[in-house]
Amino acid sequence: MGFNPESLAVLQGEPDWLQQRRRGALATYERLPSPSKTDEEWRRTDVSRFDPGQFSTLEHLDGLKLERPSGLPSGVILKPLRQAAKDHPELVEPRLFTLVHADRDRFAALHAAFFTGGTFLYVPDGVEFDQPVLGQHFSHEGGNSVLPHTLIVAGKNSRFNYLDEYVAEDDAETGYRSGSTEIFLGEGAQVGYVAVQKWGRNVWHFADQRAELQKDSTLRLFNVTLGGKFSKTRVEASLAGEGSNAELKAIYFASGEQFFDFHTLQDHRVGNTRSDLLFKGALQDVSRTVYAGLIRIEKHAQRSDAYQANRNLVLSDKAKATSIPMLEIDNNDVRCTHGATVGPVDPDHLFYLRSRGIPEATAKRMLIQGFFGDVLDRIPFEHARKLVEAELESRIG
Amino acid sequence: MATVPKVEVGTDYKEKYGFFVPEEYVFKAKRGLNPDIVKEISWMKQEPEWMTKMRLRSLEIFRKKPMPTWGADLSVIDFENIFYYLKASDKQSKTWEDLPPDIKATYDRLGVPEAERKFLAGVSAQYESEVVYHSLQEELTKKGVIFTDTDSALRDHPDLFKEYFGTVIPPADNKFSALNTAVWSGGSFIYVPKGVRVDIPLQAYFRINAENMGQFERTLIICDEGSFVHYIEGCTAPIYTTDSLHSAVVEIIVKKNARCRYTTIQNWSTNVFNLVTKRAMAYGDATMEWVDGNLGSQITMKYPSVYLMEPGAKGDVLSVAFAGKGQHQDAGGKMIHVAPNTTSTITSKSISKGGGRTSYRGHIKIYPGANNCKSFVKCDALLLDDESRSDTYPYNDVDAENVTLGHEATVSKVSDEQLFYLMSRGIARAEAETMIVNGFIEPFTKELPLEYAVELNRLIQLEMEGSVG
Amino acid sequence: MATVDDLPSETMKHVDAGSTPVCLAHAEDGNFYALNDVCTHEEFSLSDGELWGMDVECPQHGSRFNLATGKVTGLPAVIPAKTYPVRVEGSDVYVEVPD
Repeated sequence: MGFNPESLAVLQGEPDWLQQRRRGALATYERLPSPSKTDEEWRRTDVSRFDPGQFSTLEHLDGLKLERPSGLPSGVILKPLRQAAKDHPELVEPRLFTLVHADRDRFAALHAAFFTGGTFLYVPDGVEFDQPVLGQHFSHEGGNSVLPHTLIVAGKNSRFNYLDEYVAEDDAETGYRSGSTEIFLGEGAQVGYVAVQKWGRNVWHFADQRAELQKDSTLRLFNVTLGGKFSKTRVEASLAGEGSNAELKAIYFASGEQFFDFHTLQDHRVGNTRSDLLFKGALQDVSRTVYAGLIRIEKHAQRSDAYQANRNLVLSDKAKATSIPMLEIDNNDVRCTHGATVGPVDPDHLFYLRSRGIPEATAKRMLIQGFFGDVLDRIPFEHARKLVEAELESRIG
Repeated sequence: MATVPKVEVGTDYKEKYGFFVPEEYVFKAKRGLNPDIVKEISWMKQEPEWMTKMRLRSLEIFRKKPMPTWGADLSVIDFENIFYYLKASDKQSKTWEDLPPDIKATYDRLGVPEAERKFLAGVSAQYESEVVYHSLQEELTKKGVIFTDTDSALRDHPDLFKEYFGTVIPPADNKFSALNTAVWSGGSFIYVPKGVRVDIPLQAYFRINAENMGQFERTLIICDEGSFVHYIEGCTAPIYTTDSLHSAVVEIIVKKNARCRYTTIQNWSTNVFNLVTKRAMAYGDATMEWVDGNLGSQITMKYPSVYLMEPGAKGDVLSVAFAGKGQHQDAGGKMIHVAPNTTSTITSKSISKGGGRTSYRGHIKIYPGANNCKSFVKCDALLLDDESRSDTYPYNDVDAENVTLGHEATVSKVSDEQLFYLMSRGIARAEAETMIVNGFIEPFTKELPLEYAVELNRLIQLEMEGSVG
Repeated sequence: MATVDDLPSETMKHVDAGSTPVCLAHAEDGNFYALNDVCTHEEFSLSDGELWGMDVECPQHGSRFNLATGKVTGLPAVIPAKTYPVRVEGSDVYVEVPD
């Protein structure tokens, strides 16, 4: 048992460059210490009881179920990532793990060494299509690792939507899960990306979602986190071209003993860029959430606008919410605001609804729906919106 | 000048280390830090054994603790190149006239006597490491108020002192509280008895005046039930060519229904490292207010905090920071809600100019069971040019029910519209900018006694002029 | 749990009672005391700290707890530590930790 060079052997038939990269990442994993409580990023995020080695059996050696929209325009490449590494090395090799770095921490390294399922989507310059691509990542059994990786390359002025769904067959499964995504947006590209994480309630989940935006491109990213007993997600947008625009939204609903951690970055590397982040979450029972987000406006990034908000609805006295919205502004010609709130259901609203004869439980449910409602409307395509609505319905009960 | 117990510092001391005159030092410890220096300080002060032990233990903690890796860059501090104790005069002066002339001249420039004439209750002015001048209005003494320097308090009020010293900020709290506990000297000690209101602010002037000199004052304020006191600390320092370290610890206990306000205008010269730990405990229905202005120093790291221990306690921090060229103000506040029905606000206003950097760093913590708390943090940053930088690092931890916590921050520049408007009225650009900045920090200035408000506006004006061009 | 010989006067030791980490202390008054080893401030191990009279001091930030009552005697911790009854039988020290 355990992740070691021998366990790489099951990943047959990959090109040399990829095997080499995996070995490098594994060496990094072995070299890096476990994150300690004295690291700021891990101060409130306890991984001391997680031993990935006990879940070293890999699932999904052959990829995932891909829903191919009918009539994909020609030139679009959509296939399992490992297959694409073989068939299109010229597209995959220069990009894979260049946004999500394997040496970021131990878990990023492990993911880079052992990723299995996952998708590669390439949309050539100028190609647009409306029907979203759906990548479904199933885990069929517990006690193992499911580590899918998505790589999306959006050509100049392309336009499309993509949905990653991480689903467990058994809600009680244990195991190690990840779901990382790299998105390259070429000039003028418009990409909608949604990730819905609803793994089982006893897994450890780590994800890095990072996009790089070239000139005049637009990203609308939406993260939904529902599953896992432990879930740590980084959502990062690197605004590398003037006129680029990143909208980063998330909703999360933590209940039972769930622990969710979100670290976000809006990195304005050049001027005339815009980012807008809104993370909204509800906490029930004895769950805990940590949100820590940073807006960074670099030295020469004049005339940039950045917004960041984290809103937490705390529905129980045993739940714990942490919110750390940070700014690093190295330039004065910017507009930048951020805010965070942590609070219960508004008692005035509750009172109002109850005075209309609505029972307390129903009134609370309506207020929770209302809390999520304005973000739900921002999910960039209907299919995903309906899916998330249904999920929330079942949580709110 | 009379002498205190003589300490042999070596005959070549002066040649080797270059004593600075005209200041006349009765005793100046060697540079650097080791158990012998600490023992010497404690012996000089004729302290009880428990304090000597506590100092030595704190030194050990200081050595063990790593430098903070967050906040400002402190790697340039050379702890071995600092004097840890100086005593400028061997006796406590009772009246202004008793002060040695050179010290008096310094205070004259700082305006101490004038301030006293106006409304001082007492003066506890610090010159070098020891409080040398101290007076307290008779009226206050009659009320049982103790306002003295901390060294005298240890000697004259040993029980009261021992009961509270180090209980709000233990030596191990952080590297610099450990350092302070090892080598502390001077500072103010205030005790306000039950139900006593001190109607006029108590003030102390602090000053650094020697090259490579560390100043480690220690302040302890106890507001007994239902009492009120306003303490004002203002700092100025002449400019020297090498770095100085100022690392104070301020502990405050505000008991039931009492209120304490602590006002600081920090204007150290821009070669001073100002690393200060300030913390208060507020009990049932008590109010603690920190009014904290940081204009000077090369680096300041200071986050006044309030532990809200019992229901009804209230904490306020009002913080203003100005960072000009080469300065980094890393300031903010912390509110620790331990009990239910406690409230807090933090308002931070920061201004960066000429490549200066301001950081707001704060922590709101609501402990389990501290239900029905309210906390609101507002940070506004003004960046006056392209070279300057502003950061905001607010940490919010909510572990209780029915808590309302809000944080808002904005970063902006002086708007062209405002400037245009003022300049179209014939006001010069620099002056217009000063007016806008003074308007920006008005919520702070209006909380200050009038003469401080005037002084602050003048300081802002000087800062603005100094870095123009 | 431990033997008397393991713990000279004015020392502490970390022991595990099932899944509960316990700080076992032999205090200056000659008695043994047990409290939860996890500091209620930031979860560092109290047994790595120092005994200071009848208080244990956390090594990381200097929070203090009374050995007998668990009461906070020095910030920055604010939540009392859980204490457990200790029995000494012969040279053996027993700690009773509820499940």
